[in-house]
Amino acid sequence: MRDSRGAEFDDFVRTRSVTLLRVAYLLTGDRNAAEDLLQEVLEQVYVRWRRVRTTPEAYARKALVNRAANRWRRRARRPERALAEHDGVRQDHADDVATREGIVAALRTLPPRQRATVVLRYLEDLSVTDVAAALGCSEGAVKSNTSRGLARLRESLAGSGLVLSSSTIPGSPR
Amino acid sequence: MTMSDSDVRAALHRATDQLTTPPDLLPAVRRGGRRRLVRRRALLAVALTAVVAVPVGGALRLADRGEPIEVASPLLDEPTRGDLAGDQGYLRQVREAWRRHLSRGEAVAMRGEPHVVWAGNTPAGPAAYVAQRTRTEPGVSEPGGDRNFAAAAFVEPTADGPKVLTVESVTTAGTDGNSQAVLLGPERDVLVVVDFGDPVVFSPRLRYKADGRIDRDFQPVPFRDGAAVLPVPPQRGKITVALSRTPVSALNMVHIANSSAILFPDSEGSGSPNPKQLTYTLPGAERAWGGDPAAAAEPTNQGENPLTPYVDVAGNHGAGDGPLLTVYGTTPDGRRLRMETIQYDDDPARVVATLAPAESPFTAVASGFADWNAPLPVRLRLPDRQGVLVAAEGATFSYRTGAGGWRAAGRDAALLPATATEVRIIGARGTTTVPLTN
Repeated sequence: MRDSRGAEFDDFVRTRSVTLLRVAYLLTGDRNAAEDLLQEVLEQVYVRWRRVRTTPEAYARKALVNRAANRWRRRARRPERALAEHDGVRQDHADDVATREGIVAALRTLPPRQRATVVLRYLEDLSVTDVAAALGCSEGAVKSNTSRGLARLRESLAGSGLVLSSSTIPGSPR
Repeated sequence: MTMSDSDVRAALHRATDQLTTPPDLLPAVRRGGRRRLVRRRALLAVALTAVVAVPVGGALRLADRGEPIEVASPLLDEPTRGDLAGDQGYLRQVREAWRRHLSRGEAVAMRGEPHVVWAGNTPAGPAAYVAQRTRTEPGVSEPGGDRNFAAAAFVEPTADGPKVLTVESVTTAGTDGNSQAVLLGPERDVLVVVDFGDPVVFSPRLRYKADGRIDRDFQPVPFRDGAAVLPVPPQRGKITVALSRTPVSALNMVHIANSSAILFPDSEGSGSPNPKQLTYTLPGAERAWGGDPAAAAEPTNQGENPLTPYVDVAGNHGAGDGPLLTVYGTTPDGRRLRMETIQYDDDPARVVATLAPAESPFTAVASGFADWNAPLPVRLRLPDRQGVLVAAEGATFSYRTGAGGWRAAGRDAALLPATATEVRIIGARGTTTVPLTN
């Protein structure tokens, strides 16, 4: 059995899958769905490795966004379960759980394109150009979706009463 | 309060910081990716993607844009084999069942007549394996030039007559990714393996050695007249059978057509619930790991996977019903420590400790079984007097040596000194003292 992917593909999965899972989680709002989505996309990357090996993360990111937008058309593979119910990590204090749930709920109020734009801009710190490439849209659309998405997100989060400190992550996106 | 851009960034990071990928993600992706290369459900198969596999016979004349070409294939060109090869009535039923199955939904367009590759009697009733050429043969590999040229499926006996199982695509790259076996009968205790031309070995039962390693006996599959029909222990809800081409490995695994339907009967093969994940990092782990161990590369990316003896590489399993426990730490002599559990279905959970000096690969140094119902589910003594690793979710540990005083050892997981003779566990079910004499 030959396999041209070898260690290069394995390294990509090991080093980038956590980042991609986080994007998937914010796009779907559900841990199980995010894991399923990530596995589907990585299998897709595996299949197309020869073509995408030079920019596998960009390809995977684009596939994540597309599949997340279309996933409602497919049958759910498993019952939805929020992150808070999933992890047994001890440091999951109640306030952290509430924060996560609040943020995910706020993101869910955004239309898919706005949600994807905000996640890629502010979680992945992608430039406007890179977000446009990932979403297959113009840079103007990215700026517009960012502005509208942020406004809506701020509105939702302000209404939730969540207080978020910016002191731990200085700076702003490119 | 107005959120700044930095607030938004902080919020998104806080919402995702706790996420980690499943421990078996890479092997699952590799397995799934490889299976994707050649497996396409007929109802969904329209767009095809790349294929990399070993060509196994089949003379191919390349054509452009997926026009039909003549692919010579033992699967399609050889006479029907099996003791029902001359039973025209049964063969007709099989072909009719195949056509009916493909006529439902957005079936792939076929050409010519379906070919019954094998048809035979089994203790569960008559069964078959059928294949047919597709109307188009689109390329599925760049730059390899492999093409999808046929579809194939097992046919199982039912009270309503022959029933076609999952239809898979067949490519010129070979049949490595196609299902080669099926479990038949109400108890799923009849294993049929079709002869694709390569030697296959099978193991009917999965056992574990005293230290938790996999204990399987593989024996050759005795093909006769195109297939082998083997009695196996009942495989309902749990599959103990493993099949592989030689040598036995994950890449050589032989797929069982209805394994997902057996493992996940309520969800039609869509998957099993995620086990609870417990990850603990012992104090001081960062010293040897050079940062957060959970964020470091998997230990298996350096040389041979130290967990291989504990993994059922050719088996089919659902997730265990216990938690997935991972503990990171540092040994007194400065080695990186990683302990994790492996569990299949409702089998006992195994626990394996691996150690690695700086820049060196991990090796498994201690292993055994976890008992989630015990006050102290995990207890592993590390070699070279590096201590005793204990773990119990939500418990507080203390230890003592001989008649000495009790010393606090933290929560959830701890690496106790090798000289410790007793550990005390204070948990939800009260206080328990466990001797550490072995």
